[in-house]
Amino acid sequence: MTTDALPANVATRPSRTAFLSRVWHHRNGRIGLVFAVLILLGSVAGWTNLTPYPPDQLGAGSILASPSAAHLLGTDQFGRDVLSQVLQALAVTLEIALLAVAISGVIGSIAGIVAGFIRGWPGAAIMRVADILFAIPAILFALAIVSALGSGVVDSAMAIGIAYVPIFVRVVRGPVLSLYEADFVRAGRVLGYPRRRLLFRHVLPNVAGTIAVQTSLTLAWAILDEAGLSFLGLGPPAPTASLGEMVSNSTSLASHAWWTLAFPSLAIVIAAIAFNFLGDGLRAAFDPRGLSR
Amino acid sequence: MADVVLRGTDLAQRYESRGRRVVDALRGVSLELRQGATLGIVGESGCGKSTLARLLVGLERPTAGTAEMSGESMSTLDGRTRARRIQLVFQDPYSSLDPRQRVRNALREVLTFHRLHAGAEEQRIEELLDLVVLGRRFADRYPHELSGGQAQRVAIARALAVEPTIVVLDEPTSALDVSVRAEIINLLIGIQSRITISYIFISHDLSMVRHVSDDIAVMYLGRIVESGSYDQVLDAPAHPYTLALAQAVPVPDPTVVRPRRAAPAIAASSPITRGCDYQDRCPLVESQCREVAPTLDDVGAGHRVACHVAQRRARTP
Repeated sequence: MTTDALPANVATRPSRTAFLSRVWHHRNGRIGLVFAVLILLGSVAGWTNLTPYPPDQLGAGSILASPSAAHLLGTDQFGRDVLSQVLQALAVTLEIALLAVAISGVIGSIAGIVAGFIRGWPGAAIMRVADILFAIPAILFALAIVSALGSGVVDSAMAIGIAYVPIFVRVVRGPVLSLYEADFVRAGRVLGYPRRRLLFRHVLPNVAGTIAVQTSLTLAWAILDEAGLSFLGLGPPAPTASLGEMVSNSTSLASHAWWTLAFPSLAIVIAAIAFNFLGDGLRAAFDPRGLSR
Repeated sequence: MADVVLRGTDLAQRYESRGRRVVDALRGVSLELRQGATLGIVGESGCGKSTLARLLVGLERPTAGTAEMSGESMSTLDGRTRARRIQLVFQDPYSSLDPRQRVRNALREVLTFHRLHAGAEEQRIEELLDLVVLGRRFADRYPHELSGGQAQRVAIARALAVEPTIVVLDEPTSALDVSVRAEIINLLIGIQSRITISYIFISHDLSMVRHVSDDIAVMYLGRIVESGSYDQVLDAPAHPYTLALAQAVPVPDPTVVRPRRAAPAIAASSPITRGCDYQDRCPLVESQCREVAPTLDDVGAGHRVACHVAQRRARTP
């Protein structure tokens, strides 16, 4: 009998192709990865105060100096170095966005798994709550929560995080539902595997990719939402400036000092694109057809 | 007569949807499977074949009836014990394998979960691959790196890993290329010659069933309408439905001229409440068939048929 349709030298030994290399070989994934690393490095620099100048130092240069060798992104109306400020603001924005995604990812994924795996009223109840949350636009919802809770870093993160819970619930529940009906899970039941084993060994590994992709995409949205909130003055209070606040503060200066507006805006755009594209790359990398070869 | 390893008695399965629509997928099916034998179950789609399969392997509980394995009621067995006795092979080999699990890991999971061949799992995995005639190098492949036939071999190996008494094969060749079907059929026959195992082979295709089966049961709308040995059912079909199925098998010989028959009308959408289920499609229908439903009765030497006409013919030689 011919079972040897494929050449013998293919995949004869276990070879776990590095996950990151699969992201790298995806066009958008590569762009996302490069930008994401840049964003991360930038915010680490901002976080650890490894900025060219102390971000809040007044008169680090002359007032509203255009970009130069001394101040790569120019200075603002108080003579503060824009690059240093962007880096610090990036760290604040990213901190809020990461915290928000952690909140929505953990709560949403667990709720989604429960809703998909436990039939009957618990699942239905979770979905109805998610539907109600889903009906309210995320930014509006975040606005309401920030107005109610206050506007610290954690408050902003909670506001944005809760707004994105229903998306995770929906995105995770769908695959869990269909996987539980999949033949290979049925085969597991016929083999006597208990539900716990089916969930952790067969269902979850197959939704991990979905969750990772959604995390990356939500991170992009959360960055935009955080920028939006702080642009509206609902971000963390001074002196913790975030990117949205910088944009908001520099709108009146933009006509004679474009750099004060352009660079914080650019940072927002790059950060959002980075995680959006990275999500794309992750999607490709998690495809089981990419395994092994 | 060999021992009976599986006996199903009056198995019934009723599905009720929220719209109060009731579907009787199985309406009192009784069957016997002998040790080391193959029972072929044939019938068109929707006749309850797959429901029967799911019920036997414990994916669903029957609404009525009992199934016994070697004298023990299946409903009292726990999942692990039941799994050791009866296994299922699905129609679509790809969807029945976890896409993220290498062949080796899928097989090893079965062995470690059931604590079989502890310490010698790798050796056993190779034995299993040999049993399904699949090269050992396929052990480290993912399902998407296998052809349909290879994937189905893996699914069969996984079912055999627990050393079951019975394997239910639910249309195991239907999703495969025609060229691969014979390979899988021959493989199944080959396995049965090497180890003691009983099959329930479910198919809509009589030409597949005839190659593997010792006994054959023909199902129609949730009931068995004819059952018996291979010779009885296929060489002398008594029920008009079996005859129609047999005549639908293409003969691979262009010189054979067969009488063209109009295809029997599709089953009435409204369920038949009186008389024989097959009355609307039956070429032999009589007034009695419209009034009284025939029972599955013996017409000689274990050949059972549910048809008034066939039963009368048997009585009057």
